[in-house]
Amino acid sequence: MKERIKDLLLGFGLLAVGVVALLTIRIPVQQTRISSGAKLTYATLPKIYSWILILLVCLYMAKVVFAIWKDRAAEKRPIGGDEPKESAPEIAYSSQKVILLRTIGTVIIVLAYVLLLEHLHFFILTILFLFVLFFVYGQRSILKITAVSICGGTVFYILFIHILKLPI
Amino acid sequence: MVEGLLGAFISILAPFNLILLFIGTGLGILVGALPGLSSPMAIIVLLPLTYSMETLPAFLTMIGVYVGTKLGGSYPAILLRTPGTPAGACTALDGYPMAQRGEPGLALGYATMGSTFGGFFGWILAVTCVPLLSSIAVKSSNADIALIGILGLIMVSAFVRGSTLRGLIGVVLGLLIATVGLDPIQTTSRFTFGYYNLMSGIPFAAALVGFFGIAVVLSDIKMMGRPSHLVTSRLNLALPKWKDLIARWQCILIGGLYGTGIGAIPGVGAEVSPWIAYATIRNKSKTPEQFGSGIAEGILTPEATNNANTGGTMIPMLALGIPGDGSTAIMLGAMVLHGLEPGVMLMKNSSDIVYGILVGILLSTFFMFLISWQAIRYFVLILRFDRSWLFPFILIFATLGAFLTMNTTFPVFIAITFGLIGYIFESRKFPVVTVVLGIILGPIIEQNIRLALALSKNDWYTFVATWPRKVMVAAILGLLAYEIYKGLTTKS
Repeated sequence: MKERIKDLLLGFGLLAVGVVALLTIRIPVQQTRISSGAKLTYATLPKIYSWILILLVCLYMAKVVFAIWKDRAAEKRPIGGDEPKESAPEIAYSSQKVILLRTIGTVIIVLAYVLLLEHLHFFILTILFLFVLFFVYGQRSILKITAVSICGGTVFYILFIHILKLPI
Repeated sequence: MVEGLLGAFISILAPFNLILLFIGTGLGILVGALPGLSSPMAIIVLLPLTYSMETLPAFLTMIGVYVGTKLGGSYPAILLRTPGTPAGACTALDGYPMAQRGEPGLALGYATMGSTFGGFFGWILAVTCVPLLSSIAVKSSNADIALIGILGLIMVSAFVRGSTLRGLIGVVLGLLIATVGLDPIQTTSRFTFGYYNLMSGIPFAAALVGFFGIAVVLSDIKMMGRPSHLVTSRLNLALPKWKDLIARWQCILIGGLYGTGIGAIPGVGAEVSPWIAYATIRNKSKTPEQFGSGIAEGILTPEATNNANTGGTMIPMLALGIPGDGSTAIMLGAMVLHGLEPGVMLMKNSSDIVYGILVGILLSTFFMFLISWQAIRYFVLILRFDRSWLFPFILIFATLGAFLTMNTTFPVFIAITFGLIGYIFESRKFPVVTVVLGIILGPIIEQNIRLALALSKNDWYTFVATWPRKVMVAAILGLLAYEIYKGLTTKS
């Protein structure tokens, strides 16, 4: 049931995308610089895509709602009826809370890395980035992660700055 | 064709190019051997390194990775019963039992030989078909190109794994994302919301980094902390005898044909073809009950199919500008970054690159064999590493790859956004490759539709004016109707 609800939520999200696209494409942002007598204007295809997306998502959500209704009907059946089949759980080696924290942590750390790239030296920042991520991902030997972070940072620095001469 | 190939050979034989091809192939085997990492991710990681390279060396590196991952995926499949890539799953059926029987080196040997011969087979067909198809495609008009693009997208959503309805939604979403930026004909801004950075559209490379780099890391976080499987024995490759290989020529032929043929269908990718080839060879066998117990045919066939795929996917990519799978989708994006124009004019305008890529596949297949023959034990040792050590490095490559597309933080925000979108999509079983293909083909389709209408003075009949166009329109409508019917009637 939880999975169906998640499908429905994603459906609502996609529906919102389609509706917003349809509404915002109508707003005349600026006058067209090149006028033409063409049947297809700048807004035609985005409108078509938006409508098709809305239609497809409605179909998708209708299927999900139907599946939820079937699951509920199956739950209400007397004992001895067919049990709704649950898909096999995926193998995970950490708890759900840890996985969620690591996922959020990854996004925040990557954002921080990028925002600080213009303020801190690439070498120092990369070492810090690696160190923090190794720790977030469950490595606990401080000596080991410090060593790997410094080696990794050095390799990246030499590779990107000295060999490839990229403007970081 | 022969002149083109010879010219490409001469270019590639430069030491720098050979070294890059060799390193790329080794990296590909390494990446393929690690469950959770994939060829698209490895190519994305390489993107920032290729920015400062010339076009041909950049693509040779990517081709090396692409070819290498096909064989690398068989190592954990045979040794651990855990395929390194989805395409390697079929190899585990007979590879693992053979390894358990005390013949891991021989199992790896059969996998190596199957991959090598399959790769050569796919290359021969690609070299034959690409110039032929290109010579037909270059005569096509705007209407033809638009219809080819639409047909390609419909085929992707028809054949991709999982629900066809989800595939169609992904495609349309990708098409909508591709409209962000300035309209190509009237130069009106669409969906920019006043942001200057969005005027040139969504940075394509950043979107790819998000989908194939960040999204995969986020999805695989749950696999961290996996107890390392002990691969302690010093493995050496045991190449099978020639007479054993020749006796099983049908495995390589069937694997090669299925791999190239199915690989040439856009969007299908390498996951399906090994299973179809395996089922075919089992049905033809006089002893089908032995399949699954560790026989050579069960390893040779899927591995030949996997590497023949590399030739197959090149056919639509190089001739029509339609990617065969996620890796070729990234390569198409890399072409744009290097100033090439993927599509029906690629062979005409950049034949040196096309032949260079084709020759690169051949040489990379040869390097793959050499590396596997001489250094397999070192690659096998990498299977001990936990993802928690590897993913931070991958994230740095991905982040810098996105940053360096515009030298600002904006594309990184795009990469993170698309990474989250890709993560959510994959968790709900939406195939991300359909969104990527929609983003790539959207501008091509729109521009050609509008040009075709402008040239025909707004006459829609132009799209059915010739027999090839009528056939394509009929195929599009037929596939659409079939997909919608299938989507409504199959369980989600």
